[in-house]
Order: sequence, then structure tokens, then C-alpha cells
Amino acid sequence: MADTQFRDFIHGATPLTGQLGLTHVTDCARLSGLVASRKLEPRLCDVFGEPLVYLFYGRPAYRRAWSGGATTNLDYARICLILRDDVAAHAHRILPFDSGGFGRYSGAFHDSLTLADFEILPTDHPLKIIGAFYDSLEDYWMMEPVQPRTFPVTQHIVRSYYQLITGGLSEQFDDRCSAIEVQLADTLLLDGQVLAVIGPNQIFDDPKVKAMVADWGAEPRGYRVPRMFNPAEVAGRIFSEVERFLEDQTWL
Amino acid sequence: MAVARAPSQARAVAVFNPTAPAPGFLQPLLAGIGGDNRSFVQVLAAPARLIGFAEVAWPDRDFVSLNEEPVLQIGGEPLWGFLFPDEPPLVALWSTFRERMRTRVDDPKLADKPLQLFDIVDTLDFDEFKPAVYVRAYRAYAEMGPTAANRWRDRSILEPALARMLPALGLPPHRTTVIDGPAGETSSTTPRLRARLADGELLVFLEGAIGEAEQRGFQDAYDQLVARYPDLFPDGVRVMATHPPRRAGPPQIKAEGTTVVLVGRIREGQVSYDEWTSQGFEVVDESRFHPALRIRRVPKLTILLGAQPDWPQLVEAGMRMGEHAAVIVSLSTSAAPLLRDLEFQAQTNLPTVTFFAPYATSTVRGRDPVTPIRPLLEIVQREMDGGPFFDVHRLFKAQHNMLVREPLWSNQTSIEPACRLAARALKAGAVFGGVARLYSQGAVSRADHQDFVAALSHLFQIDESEPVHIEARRAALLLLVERIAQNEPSHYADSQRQGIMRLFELRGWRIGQDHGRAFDLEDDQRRFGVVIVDHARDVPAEDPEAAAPGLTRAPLLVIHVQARREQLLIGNRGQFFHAAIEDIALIEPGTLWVWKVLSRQLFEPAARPSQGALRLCASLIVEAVRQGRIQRSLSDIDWNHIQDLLTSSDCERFIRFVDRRTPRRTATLVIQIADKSGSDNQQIAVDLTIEDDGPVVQGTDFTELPFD
Repeated sequence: MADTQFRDFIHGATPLTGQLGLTHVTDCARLSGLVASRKLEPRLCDVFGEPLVYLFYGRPAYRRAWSGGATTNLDYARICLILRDDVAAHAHRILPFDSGGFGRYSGAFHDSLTLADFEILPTDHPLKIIGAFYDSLEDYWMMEPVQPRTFPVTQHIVRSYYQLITGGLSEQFDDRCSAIEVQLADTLLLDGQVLAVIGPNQIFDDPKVKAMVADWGAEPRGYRVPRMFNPAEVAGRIFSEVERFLEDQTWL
Repeated sequence: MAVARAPSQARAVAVFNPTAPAPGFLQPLLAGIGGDNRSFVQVLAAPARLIGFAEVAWPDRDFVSLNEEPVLQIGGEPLWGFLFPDEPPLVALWSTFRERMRTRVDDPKLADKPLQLFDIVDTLDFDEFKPAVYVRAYRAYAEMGPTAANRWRDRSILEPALARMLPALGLPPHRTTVIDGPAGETSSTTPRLRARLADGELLVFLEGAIGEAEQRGFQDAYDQLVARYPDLFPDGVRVMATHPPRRAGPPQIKAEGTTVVLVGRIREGQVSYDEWTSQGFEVVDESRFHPALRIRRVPKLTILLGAQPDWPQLVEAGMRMGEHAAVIVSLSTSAAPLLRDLEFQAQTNLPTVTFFAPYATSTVRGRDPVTPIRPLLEIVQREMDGGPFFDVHRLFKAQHNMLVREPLWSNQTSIEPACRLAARALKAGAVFGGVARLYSQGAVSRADHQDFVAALSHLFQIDESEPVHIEARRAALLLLVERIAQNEPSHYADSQRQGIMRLFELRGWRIGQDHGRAFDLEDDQRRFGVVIVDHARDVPAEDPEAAAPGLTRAPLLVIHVQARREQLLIGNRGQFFHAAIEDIALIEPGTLWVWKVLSRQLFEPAARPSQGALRLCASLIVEAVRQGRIQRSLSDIDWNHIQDLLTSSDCERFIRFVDRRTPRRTATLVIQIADKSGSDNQQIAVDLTIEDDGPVVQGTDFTELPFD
């Protein structure tokens, strides 16, 4: 039986005003399927054992493998869909981090904590999590929670999460530890839900992609593929492009 | 991807298509040499420069093996590849690849791919194709929406073009959305450049100093883009470079103004918050400001204000300001540079301003601690009026500065107040030849202001940009000038000596022989020595056998850098003439300047009756009697007897001040004398006035009053 401490804490929090949208990151190899279906279909998740669509609030976290080490998979050029904020209303499950990394975080948490202890009510908006731990959307984007903060002994789960996002645990994790994850259990039809499509310039040469983007009323935002060839650029490219979109929207 | 322990060379064995299945640029895959079975990709510092190899996992698919397997070396040319439809991959070293691709720009296979062409032409920097290809790419985006096209143009073409011209303007590198910082970082602390072109205006957002030269540079850069790409960039656009807007967050307390943060003991004062707010200044206590700084928008300028004894707190508060524009303002009641100030100011990177004014503390309730720096706030406000942003380094060109204020009187020439202002600045530690800016307050004409600038330029490097005038009831000059930064007494003393000599020259004197701290001074009538002294112990000894030569005939002028009034007054009864550094303003060649100096020393507004003043007044009465400068008296007064009494070594036994209202430059003294029969005492009240040509006395019988 999961502890509802974290859920209750977030439920009682005041959501920040504003919006960042939700992101879904995929890659060029999946583009043709996206063009054909124009929807995001749940795929079986080995963490939860059920078909799910993964989105992240604002930050374009990418559910790549947590293998780490010296060997890294070569990336296909990434594509990021920025979705309307109210897609979060369809949430099946919301977690305050990339659940794929929980196996790693848990080593730094108390033994008794499980993934379910960090679930919030799917009817609560991710902006409540941001409001609970950050002063602004900018701070969430930059991963700068309010510091310092103290929590009573009875709020040990909340404190553990706070330590996770402030680097206060024995082990440090990358940005995915603070990227709010929104899971959908149902197929998401993308018509009318996409604000922007970020991808290599050349994908927008394709008449089918152009038609899809136009039908959605989304903004095409292309980048140059050779920029992705430099390893230092790979992780930051989509982040920079999403950040720029949020700036242009004056949401950041 | 780890670069650590990567080899210095590797063999290219395949290419990977990151946009598969569509054609496009290919990423070379490399294998280790000599038994190293790892896989790598190239790390590039520039398209033509290979700086390393990063280990990767071999991809499962979408790779093509190479027939030829060139060995690549760090520092050499990297390998590039491109896949055209229905062809084997085109793979070659950078320079060869570039030339072969140049011949394919017009290839029919790319005819309906304007955005792929943009990638090719932009990445490979084919200048000759850019105008046509850029326009085609822009139109391709425009088909999906004008906003999308304009935003793409701004970040893909405009911003990189502007970023490339920053070095020519002496500005630091900035990263745009599509160009990394200098170390290839995308989310580093490297400042960002953003450009937005809309409604006939181009806003360029960047960090750092933005002056007129930069504004012109950006305008020129845009005009060049218009000339090159007339179909992309409209003509007649006004370019404005400014600092980036703050991002979203809680509403700030004050968006565009100046915040004064009270630090240390002055927090005990009583601030008229509403009044300051109405004038555009936000005043906050330090304890509330710093916690709020991280969640609020930052003011254009933060002034950390504290009393001189609270330098440690000021430095600490400054450290917490991060990159925000801030200045430390220290209120000092000491007109001299204090060793402690110099030590603490060396610990901050922020600009500092010392302002000489009393500060409100807990013991002085009811005073507003911000009021003393009103002149500085007015300067800041006026300097901010000039543009959309405020560059703190443009106002404070030196790191350590002082602000000195000098009231102006209607009957003065420009030289006298300029000399006095410069003298006070030198005394307080201004750097001779240091950078400075002059401001005028109240009824000062532009021509007069220029005269003051010309005069002060003899001593300081005065900024000659457009003068800033401040409305005020009283006319005054304000000099913001560089202050000494280090505790090096010898260097400072030499700077001060040169400043003093220049002051004399400004006043119209000729400098004769220079002996270091002593030098000769001459005009058309006389020549005498001058010595500069820092302490009383440095004053040259008088000849105990010689008589005082008289006030106007002293052979040596002693200039006291840190003068105490009593020291000057006592000294002026002796063989040398003693003056403070500020008195140089009154020492005008060809005039009887001694009397003006003595008048100031005796009758300055803050002057109090003292033993030294009493004895000097006695001497001046004697001098007036000797010169016959006696105004008609109502009583029968034996001036010769008074002269005898006042020249005695214990003259203070016979004379005292009378505390009553007197005209300016006049003192009233009572002298006790015996009547001619010797049987009774008589008291004479003497009004001593120092006029420009000497002292004048007038006597009255005052016998009815008790002497004590």
C-alpha cells in the first residue's frame, strides 16, 4: 500500500501560473509512423507492465536507456512534439521524475520507498509540483528549486524528493530526476494538440510532414542535422530548441 | 559519450544515416587501431577541424560500410558524408567533400528539397548560393505559416550573422540557438544573443556593455544583410541592441528602476519608503532583499548602501549579487582615505563609490539613511534616462570611485570652485589623472559647465560626453572620480603632490624648482617655497632665534594635506604660513590672498572659538593697529596699549571671544586693560573683520560687563 504523503503534499500545493506545454521526444526513424497515424499510441512499458505514452512537462526529457558507462548509443536525429498544456488532463499517472530512473534513485532513497509513493493524483496538474518546489517556471526549467527548505520528520518522502532535486542525496543524477513525467494510458490523437514540431530542417521538405504540421496548426522548427554530429551537441540540441520556443512564446 | 582515454587516431569504416530512411548528411563511424575494438564518432571543433574521438555503441542499422578506410588523426581534417537518393554514399575528407558537394547544389535530386539545400549551403558555407537558397528555404517555411518562417529566419540566419560580428565590436562571444558557445556548449554560462525582427524594428538582446558604437555596429550588420538578402530582410528597420528581458517569474517589486539595499547599521534609520517609491527608487532592507533576489526580477541597478564602518557587510552583500548590476556605496564621515576602506574595497569586484556625508544610525533616530545619497541617486536616474538599459560600467568607469559635491556661489569665477572641488577630491584620495565625470546641479549654464570641465581636466580625465544636468534649488558641482584602490602610501603621496602642483598651476602660479615634497612657487611679484606635509611631525622647524616676519611676508607656505584647523591657526602666528589643501583655491597670484585664507580658517561655517583662534585674532588685531586699519571708534581707546598686551606671550589672559551675532568674516572680542591711572580695569569690545586687503578693527568701551 503506497504512502499518500507525497500525493497529499502536492494536492495541497498552489500551482504556479503560466504554462510550458508537454513534450514528447522521438526520432527520425519513427517519423513515417507518426505521419501515417498522427497519434501517439501506448507502448508496453516494462517498468509499469502496461501500455503507456510518455510525456514530460516542459523539459524535453528523453527516455533513453540508463545504461551509462563509456558506450553510448548513436542517436538518430531527434524530433520533439510540444503539446498543449491541457493534454495533462488526460493523465493516467503523474510522477515528479523520469520513472525509468527510479531503480537508480532508489539506491539513494530509504529502502522502504517505492515508485508508487511518489505518484500524485492524475487530476492534479504538473504545475502543482512546480509550485510546491520552485519559485517560478524558469527555476523549474533551470532545475533550481527553492533553497533552503526544511520538512518535518513526518514528511520524509517529500524530503527525499527534495534532496533528489537539490542534489542532496549520496548520488547525483541528471536532469531526468526532476523532469515531471505524465503518462497516458490511452492513444493521444494529435490533431489540435500540437503546438510545435522540432526536427531536422529536411523533414519539413516532405509534403506529408508539411501537410501534417499545417493541419495541426503547429509551428515547424527546423535545425541543421550536422550540428547533431558533435557529441557535446546531442544532449543539448532539443533542449535549446524547446527553450527557444518557450522564449518565443514568452512562456519562459 | 566519453572522450576520456580516446585514441589520437582511428580508422573510418562506415557511415551512419541519422535521418534514415531519408537521404542527407551521414555521420562517419570509426574503429580503433592496433587491437582497439571500440567504435567512435568524430569530435569537431569546427567543420574542418577534428579534435577527438568519442566512443559509441555500433548502431543496429542504417549504416553503410566504406570501401576505403582512411585513418583520421586528431588535428587533421575530419571525414564528411552525404547520401543522395539512389547513389552510394559520398564520403571524403572535409576540403574534398566540400568541393564535390559544391558541384551538386544544383542537382535535380535536391530540386524539391529547399530545406535540405539550406542545410548543405549553410553547413558548408557556400556563399555564392546563399541568397537564392536562403530565400527558397524561407518560402518553404512561409508555406507553413508566416510566424514560423520569420522565427526560423531570425534564429537560423539573422542571429548567427549578428553573433559573428561581435568580435569586431570588441564584445565577448555569445551563443545563439543554432551556434554554440566557444566551447561547444549549448547550455553553459556563455551569454545568449537573441534577435527579434518585427514591425519595422529589430531588437537585439545580448549581455555586456552596449554603447553607441555597438548600436551602430548592429545597424551596419543588419544593413549588410538587407543588401545581401533583400527578399528576407526588410529595409528601413531600426536596430536597437539591449539587454535581454528577464524571463517569467513572480512579479517584481519594481521593474525598471534602482533598488537601494540598506546594509549594516543604517538599517536603523527611518526610511520614507513611499516618498522614494514615488521618485522611482525602491528601498529595501538587506535581510529582505537577498532572499527575494532569486525569485524576483532584478532591478536595473542595485545600490548596496552602508556606513563606512560596515565595509565587511557591504562586501559580503556584494558577493551575493552574482552577475546582477550593483554598486557599493559607502557613506564616510572621514574626508581622508582610510586604510580599512582600501583593504575591504579590494575584496569586492563591484564598483564602489565613497560619498562623504553623515549617516543615520540607531543613535540618530528620525533621519532617512537614503537622503545623504540623493545626489548620487539623481545622477543614476539621469544616466538611466538615456537608454533602454543601464550599463553600470559605463557610469562607473573605474572600479573605486568617490563622489564629491561643491556648492557654487554667484560671485565666484569658475577656477575657484573647480580648484576647491579638486582639492577636496585629492585630499580624500582621488587619483591624479583618474577617470572622472562632472555633473552640475541647479543654476549652472551649459557654458559654465564646460568651463568647469576645462578647469578640472587639468587634474582628471574628465568624460566629455553629453553633460548631465540635475534640477536642484542650490547650484553645485558633483565630481564622480576614480579613487585610490591600494594602500601604497608612496604612490599615493606622489600622485597627491603632482595634483597639488597642478592645482597651483591651475590657479595661475608658476612652479619653480621642484624638490619633491617641496617646490618653489612664483608669480610676477614674488617667489616663495612651498612644502607639502601629511602630518604635524613633518612641519619644518622654525628658527627659535628669529622673529615672526609677519603674515604677508612668510618665506614658506606649508600645505597641510590632512589639516587640523587648530594646527593652521597656531602655525599662522609663527614664521611660516600654513594652509589646507582646499585653501589653494583662494591663493590667487597677484592678490593679498593671505587674508582670504585666514578669513576662511577663522570664520568658516563650522568654526568654533578656540585657543588657536583667540591667539590668531590677537595677532590680527595687532596687525590692523600696526597698519592703522582702525575704524572710527565711539570710545577713546588706547590702541598702542592694546597692541602691547596682545603681543605678549600670554595674551590670552587679556582677551576673549564674545558670543554674539556678527557680520560675516567678523569676530567680536573683549580685551581687558588697566586704565591709565592703573587703579581700575577697563574692557574694550573689538570687532575684528578680515577684508580682502587686510584686517580692520573697531573698538567700543565695554567696561560695564564682567570679564569672565
